[in-house]
Amino acid sequence: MNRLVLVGLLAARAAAAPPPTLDATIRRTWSDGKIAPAPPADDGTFLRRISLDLTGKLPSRQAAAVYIGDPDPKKKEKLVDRLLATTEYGDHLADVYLGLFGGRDLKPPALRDGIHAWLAGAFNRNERWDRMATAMLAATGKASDNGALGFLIATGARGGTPEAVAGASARVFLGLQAQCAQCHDHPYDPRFRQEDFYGLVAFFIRTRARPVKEEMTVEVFDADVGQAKMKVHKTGQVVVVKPKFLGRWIADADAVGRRTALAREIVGSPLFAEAAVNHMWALLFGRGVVQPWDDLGGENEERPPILAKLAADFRASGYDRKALVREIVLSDAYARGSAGGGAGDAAEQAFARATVRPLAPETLFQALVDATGIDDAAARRVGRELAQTKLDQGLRQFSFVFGDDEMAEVDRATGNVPQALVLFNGELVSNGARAAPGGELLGILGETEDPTARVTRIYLQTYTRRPTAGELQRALAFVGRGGVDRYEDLFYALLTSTEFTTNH
Amino acid sequence: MNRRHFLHMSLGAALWAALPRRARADARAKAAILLYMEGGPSQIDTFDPKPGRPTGGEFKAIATAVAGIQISEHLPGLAARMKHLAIVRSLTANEGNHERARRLMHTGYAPQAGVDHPALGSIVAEKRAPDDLPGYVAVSGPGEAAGFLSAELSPFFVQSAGKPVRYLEPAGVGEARFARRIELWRSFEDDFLRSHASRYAEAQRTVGEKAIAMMHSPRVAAFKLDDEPAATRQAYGDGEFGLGCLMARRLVEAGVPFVEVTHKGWDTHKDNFPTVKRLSEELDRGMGALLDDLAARGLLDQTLVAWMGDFGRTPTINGNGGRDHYPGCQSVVLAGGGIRGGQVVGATDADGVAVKDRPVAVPDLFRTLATQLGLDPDERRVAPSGRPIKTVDGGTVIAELV
Repeated sequence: MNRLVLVGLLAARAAAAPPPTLDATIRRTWSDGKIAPAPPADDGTFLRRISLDLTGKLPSRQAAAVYIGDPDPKKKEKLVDRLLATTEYGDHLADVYLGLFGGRDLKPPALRDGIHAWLAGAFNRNERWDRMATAMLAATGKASDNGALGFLIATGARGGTPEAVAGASARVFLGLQAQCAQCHDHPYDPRFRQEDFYGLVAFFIRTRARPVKEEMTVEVFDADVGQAKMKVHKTGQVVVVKPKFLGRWIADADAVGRRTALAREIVGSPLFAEAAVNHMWALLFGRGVVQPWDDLGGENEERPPILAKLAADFRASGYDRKALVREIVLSDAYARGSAGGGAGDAAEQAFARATVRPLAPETLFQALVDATGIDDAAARRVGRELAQTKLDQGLRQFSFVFGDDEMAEVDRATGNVPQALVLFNGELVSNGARAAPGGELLGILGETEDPTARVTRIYLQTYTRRPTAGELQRALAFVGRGGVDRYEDLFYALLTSTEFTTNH
Repeated sequence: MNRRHFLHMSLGAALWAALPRRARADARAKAAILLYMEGGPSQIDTFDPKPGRPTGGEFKAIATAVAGIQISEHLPGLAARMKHLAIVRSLTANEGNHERARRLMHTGYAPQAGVDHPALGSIVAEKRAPDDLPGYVAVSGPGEAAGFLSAELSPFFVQSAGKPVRYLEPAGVGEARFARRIELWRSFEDDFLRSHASRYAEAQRTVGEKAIAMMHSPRVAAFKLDDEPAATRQAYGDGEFGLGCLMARRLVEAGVPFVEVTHKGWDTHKDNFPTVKRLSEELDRGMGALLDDLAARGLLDQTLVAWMGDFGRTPTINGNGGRDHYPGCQSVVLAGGGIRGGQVVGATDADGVAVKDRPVAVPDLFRTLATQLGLDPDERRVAPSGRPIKTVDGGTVIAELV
């Protein structure tokens, strides 16, 4: 066969075959790796997982009962659409990104809230991700007028240097760990020699931030002068570095504005879509297709088919995040159950079994509040305003104790003793587990006298599923003829258990 | 040296390197107490006085128990205990921002985005944490986190030494009912581990059991200062820092290998002198009582006490009677744990503007601390990015101290 014919045949075949779907790509990955996928998650488990992932909220027992009993074959698609339309969707993603920027406890609170509101609004309107990134990278003015400044302010807030902001921009928008090159040439990535890192720093070197005390905000502007200076690792010599992006000098940076030029280069890079989809995947599975999600450079240059497929779709959609989320959560991989497996399980590593993973601090806190109704119970006791103040205090304390695992990878996360002590002995669970007026437990006990129905509702309220026959039997034996205190103990043990405190 | 000899030696070195790295059993110090001066203490107004110089400020210098060594007049108790103390007057660094300097002075590494270095306390906890107590306790301040090491090694935070430690006891239920709850909790955890045999679920179970063990450990009484005789409490005083020092001694005695006590308020951009006078009095009483108490109990030789902060402060006094951040010259004080006391290492120049003799870098200090604590300063731990990170970033042991 001569070469021309072969090329022609291949071209014809490529034209004839429809591009593989995400599910086909996933199944291909499994069959190539000889991996037997875990059975799909049951309805309750799926509802719980997706609600926590997309909105950071635990479904109520009523919502759980309705969804589990719904015979509609399209109920999953409808659920996804419903969740993506809630304001909690954008709020939750804003929490995630603010955490990623290192701005979780940015002060004053008004500054943090303004930035959070900008992110949440943009995610809820489903603003194109390339436009959001550009707005954040090129932002100027006062944070009180322009919440897009959140990225620059949060990444530069703690002893922030242009180096820190440059490193964060490579990580957040390109999935690159460029910071290694701050001190010396990157050991594994030829694109990140020390000069390349300072070339990136050069885009931010003229950016200045000034607190505006009387308005409790921060103003960001650009000076006309300022040069990135690098102390050469080997010689100790100090040299000026001009704006440079992944190996290319950006000659027009000063003409168009350094940060505007950087934004253009970043959204034009193939890494931009890859980083966004790998991060989103990591949020939904506990680990990236490439792991860690922010290490797309150097040795990890090869792109697994799942990542390539998602990145191509994300680009083709015009960086439509809701479409990306929808594609992932309706995939065969996200549908898997989490039972079975064990440490180092190959199915779990290949996304053929869902991973047991920690909840973000805010999400766990909110899940405990929602499951117990402690907010309403406290409002009955001390009034709405004081209850809210106490709750905010509680959240701060909780975030402090649980904040340590922030962005920790699921393969390393352990939790710690202070966290366990706050769960076991803190006010949130101890008071929340009480059968108190306004609280959920008393509500359940008031709905029915039947112990089986009570136990079932307590399970739906906490685990978003009905108890198995064995669990029901044990719970009924525990409750026995005891009083309310037995139900409180059952509720307490469920709330502190790992099935409750994780997503899976 | 002939070739054969050389080969023999390098093989020996390779064998040594292959041995499991554990804390050295013969380490002088079994525990460390870090007295951390938050905000950055003024070296000139504490341990590196410049009497009679324009930069010297308002305080006088007084003689100490060791001839030729002078310190601030507001530290008479420490002056009397000078034989225990080694003052390093020539620490020099270049982090002048609180957040960055805090990281540097807790981890020994200047912060770099991309690698979250663990605090020294977390590394000690990794080697030595007891089963029923935390390995790193931070009193009156949050300490610094375990970075890329397991979150289990982050400090156990005691908000205030003067208040009961929270969440060590069941809330609102008696012991019997708590036990009933935990029994049920265990059955849920067992079920979940059976059906979801995952790494994280296992870690959660372990951590939960550790918390329960800690609640029931008799050693947890170390957190309760009420048990201490009135005379001892009197020696430490009832200020936050003094109580923190007392709690540190109790914790070390109970087996906690690393305790950090924060002393707040040293960021004296204005009114430096009245502030540092008050802080010095608190420091003098608390640290003095701690040294006496450790010595009386025979614990001083095995407990390394380190006094340091974010950075030093400017020799020049600003328009508000304050001193600003000055990482170029800092004083650090070490005692116990096999450190040779009664000496000064290094010197700044006449006005305290620059280090004159024997500059000491932060890695030198951390290598000294790690070595005295029986850690291997060159042990590599792999950060998530795949980078091997040593316990200490190079440096040389400060030979005069050990």
